[in-house]
Amino acid sequence: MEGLLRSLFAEELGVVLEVPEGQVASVVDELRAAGVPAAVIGRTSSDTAVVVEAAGTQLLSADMRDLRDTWEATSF
Amino acid sequence: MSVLEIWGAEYQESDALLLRKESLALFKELCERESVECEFVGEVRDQADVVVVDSRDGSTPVRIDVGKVLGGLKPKTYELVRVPAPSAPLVLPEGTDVRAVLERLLRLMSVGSKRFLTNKVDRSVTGLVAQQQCVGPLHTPLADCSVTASSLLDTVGTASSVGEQGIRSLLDPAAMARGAVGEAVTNLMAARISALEDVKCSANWMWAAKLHGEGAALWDAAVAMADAMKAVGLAVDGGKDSLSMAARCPGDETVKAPGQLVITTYVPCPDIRVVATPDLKAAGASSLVHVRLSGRKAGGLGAAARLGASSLAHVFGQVGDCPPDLDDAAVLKRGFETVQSMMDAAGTRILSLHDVSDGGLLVTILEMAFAGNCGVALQLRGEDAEPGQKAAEAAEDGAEDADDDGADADADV
Repeated sequence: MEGLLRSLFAEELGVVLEVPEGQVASVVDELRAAGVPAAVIGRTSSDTAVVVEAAGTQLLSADMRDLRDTWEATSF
Repeated sequence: MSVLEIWGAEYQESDALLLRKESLALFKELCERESVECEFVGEVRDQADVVVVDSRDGSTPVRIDVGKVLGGLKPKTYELVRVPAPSAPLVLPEGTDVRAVLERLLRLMSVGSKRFLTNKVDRSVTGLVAQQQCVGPLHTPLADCSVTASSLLDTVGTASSVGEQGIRSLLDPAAMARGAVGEAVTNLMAARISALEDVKCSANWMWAAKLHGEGAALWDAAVAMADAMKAVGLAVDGGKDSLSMAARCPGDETVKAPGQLVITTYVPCPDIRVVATPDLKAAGASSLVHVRLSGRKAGGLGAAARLGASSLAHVFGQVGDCPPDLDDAAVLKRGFETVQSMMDAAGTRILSLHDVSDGGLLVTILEMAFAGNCGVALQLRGEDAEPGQKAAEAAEDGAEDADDDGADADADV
């Protein structure tokens, strides 16, 4: 599990895209057709829960607002 | 001013031009029309000397034999040696979990909110700012690039982005340089640009170049930057350097900064309205797609993540060993162009975009949620598997996914 944890924090070049549900398959297919590795890794949710699961194990369950407060902490 | 002062003054913010004699009158006319001051200060003679004549008395206070200045100089030779960087695998404390890492990581200045900077500046001066530093309903300081309009009456403009990965040069100066190029490009991806080949960059080098091993490191970084830029289609057209980034401290200690390259890009934008900001926009009705642009061959388990010089290593007081790298610039270029082709002003296919940089993949997604004021659910297995990949690989795939005088020598390149 530490391997998975580590890869969550790897800073390899890449981008994350937010794609509307109806477009997901075509966006991923187009990228792969161009020889660019792309994969769906999650969904947005209308509540404020941040959940990370890997291989059936929950790695993180938190409230986005708490994490955001931490992220803002050094700035205030 | 005296002759000495006139001859020795720096005349900054001015240019010297060499003109044909028959063009002097035309040039003078042009200067008068444009209200630009110009002085005709001398002429080139077929003689190897420089003579300054004082027009008041006809004397020649300066007379230099050019041969003595330039002729006898031997080419300078620099002896550079490569010094291996000390490195050790990153070791996390026993039982470290994601939440514990985030508690440290989100507070790191290179990861955390830059609101302290954006709050005190006017981000709309000129009225031509199409993309400022802050994004989303909460004005979260997370924009990946800037966009400015060229005119108040049109929708064309210029995009600009920055890339830097200075800490990586503690391990691998060439990977640092490629990382800077890569980050500048992934940041720029958020605005639709005319073409990668139109992108010009300013390269700023900060290096303790005179210290043991650093000259060779600077050389390696410069070669790596040029190769990466050629492969992607960018070009440097200017920059600046500070090559004395070291200071001698009391007790015979010399402190040096990690060698650093900062790339600033700028490029035309055919339509300044086509920008994909990082804030999530369709909470509950959209998915997150991770696009991997390093060109690294799919390899092994998550345990093989390259974490050298990462923010994760930083917050645990370590440097680590192998840093992330741009392994195949062709993948970056193709990824850039494919994503750009899917962007439009309405966000029909791509609602939001954010690059993976300091802090890594999870921080990238959290920042998108912070700015969009919503939650996310990440599944790092299953649907993210690429065809033909083993389940074990899929997990990684989704998850991964001074010896000077102290004066700061600045030089325009």
